[in-house]
Amino acid sequence: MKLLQATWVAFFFLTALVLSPITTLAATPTLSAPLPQPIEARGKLIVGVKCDYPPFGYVDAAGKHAGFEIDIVRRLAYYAFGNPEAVDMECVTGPDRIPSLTSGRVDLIVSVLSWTPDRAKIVGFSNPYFDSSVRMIVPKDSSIKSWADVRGKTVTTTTGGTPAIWLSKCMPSVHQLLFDNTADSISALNDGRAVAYSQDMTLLVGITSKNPAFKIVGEGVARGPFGVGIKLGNGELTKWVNAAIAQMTKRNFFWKSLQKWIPKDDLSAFVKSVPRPGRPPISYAEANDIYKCYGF
Amino acid sequence: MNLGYQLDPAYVVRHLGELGDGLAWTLVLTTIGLCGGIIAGLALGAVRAYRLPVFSNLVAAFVELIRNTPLFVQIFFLYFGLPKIGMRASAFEVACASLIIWGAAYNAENYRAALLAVPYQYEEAGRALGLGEMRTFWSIRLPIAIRFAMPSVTNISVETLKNSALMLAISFPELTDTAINLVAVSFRVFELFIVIGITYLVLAASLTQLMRSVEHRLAWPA
Repeated sequence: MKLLQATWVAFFFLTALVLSPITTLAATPTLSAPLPQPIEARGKLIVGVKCDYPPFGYVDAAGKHAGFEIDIVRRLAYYAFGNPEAVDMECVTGPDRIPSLTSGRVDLIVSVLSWTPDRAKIVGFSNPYFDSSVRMIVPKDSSIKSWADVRGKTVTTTTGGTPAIWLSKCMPSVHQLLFDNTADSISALNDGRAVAYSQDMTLLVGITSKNPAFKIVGEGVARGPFGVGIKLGNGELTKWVNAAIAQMTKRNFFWKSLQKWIPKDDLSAFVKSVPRPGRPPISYAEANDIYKCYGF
Repeated sequence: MNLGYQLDPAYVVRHLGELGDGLAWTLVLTTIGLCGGIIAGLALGAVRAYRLPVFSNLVAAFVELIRNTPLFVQIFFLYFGLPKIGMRASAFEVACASLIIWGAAYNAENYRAALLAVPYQYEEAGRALGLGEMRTFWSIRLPIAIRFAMPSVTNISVETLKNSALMLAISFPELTDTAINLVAVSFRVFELFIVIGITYLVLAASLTQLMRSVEHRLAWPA
């Protein structure tokens, strides 16, 4: 009797032992490219992320990393090691993110890094995962829908920013009300000194998610898709990240994640912003000429 | 000397049109701020010097309020604060109003001191000649006080010119705002700042010269 019991227990454990790698394998899809050996051996990814850019990458009230890009980073860790927590996230800022990558502090940066011809010379880019562009916010009750509707009117934006340069070049009839910070522009928009505030849509969605009095409108111009930053020349890792992005696209992961982070009313402005199954892929080609006028 | 920076004077030449517009707005703002500040300051200074009941205290409070807060904050208050209580003035109106208010507060003190510095014997002499109180003020006390106040009013006038540069904060296209917006796009910091620096220097020196010649014109033979 005792022997029988022991046999059962042994059998149970053996089965569990044999099955466990199979269950892990079943849950973790194998990517078409292998994870580079040094990272595999370390057992975790080290990724530079934004900590102050909601809803893309920020630290939430509980002190945990959160946001659309953080979802992507956790997914990458899951693909790499079967565990979404197998990643060290390091906060990076705009100016220090590329140095932290080139110096080898981090394996990857997932930090609202838009592709530009100049950046592509110093840092490797994965395939894009988000198509950012310049748009406008207007008060909820405004009739403005398109850039064509602001001709001859006053638009507020940031001194020296991409929208200011684009407007000067493509829509000289627009009077620009320039301030050096977002708060002053929003104040001016609130007071009716301008009909719209123009900025990168990732920044605009941070405003509309906190301030429901505004909505995002306008065609996407001055486009700069975001990619994962990888040390230049690290082809093996680039292939792995691209395979991971392809897998996420297949599973519609980007769109599902975005729905968590973007206010419902603004979601329609983002339908073409992420790679989704059965849709044309996002390309960096548009970003070659960021100041293209698109007929405006 | 290698600054690691190649000066491009042609850049400034290409943008002379915009800078010229900015300069014109600076001159408009300075003229309005200077004249408004002198006229209002004289009126407020007289109220103080004659200690008109209630009004004198109100003016004193106004002067303290303006002298003890940064002009920058006052401009922000007028531009961003007033619309919250339903008063929305344009950037130009705010620019003019803030310069006039600032100049008036400082000139009020200048003219108060000048009026009080006129020896009382002059007033007595006027009254002895049978002139009324108003007539004595207009014909005797005021002309003397204006001359006494000239040097300090010149100071405030030059300050008004330089203060017009603060309208950058409300995106009013005067000279500094125009230059900063050009810098933000082109990064031509040195060219533009050398040019606007020299422009302000020349403007301020000319204004001082102008005020001094007025002072000399007004001076009585010793």
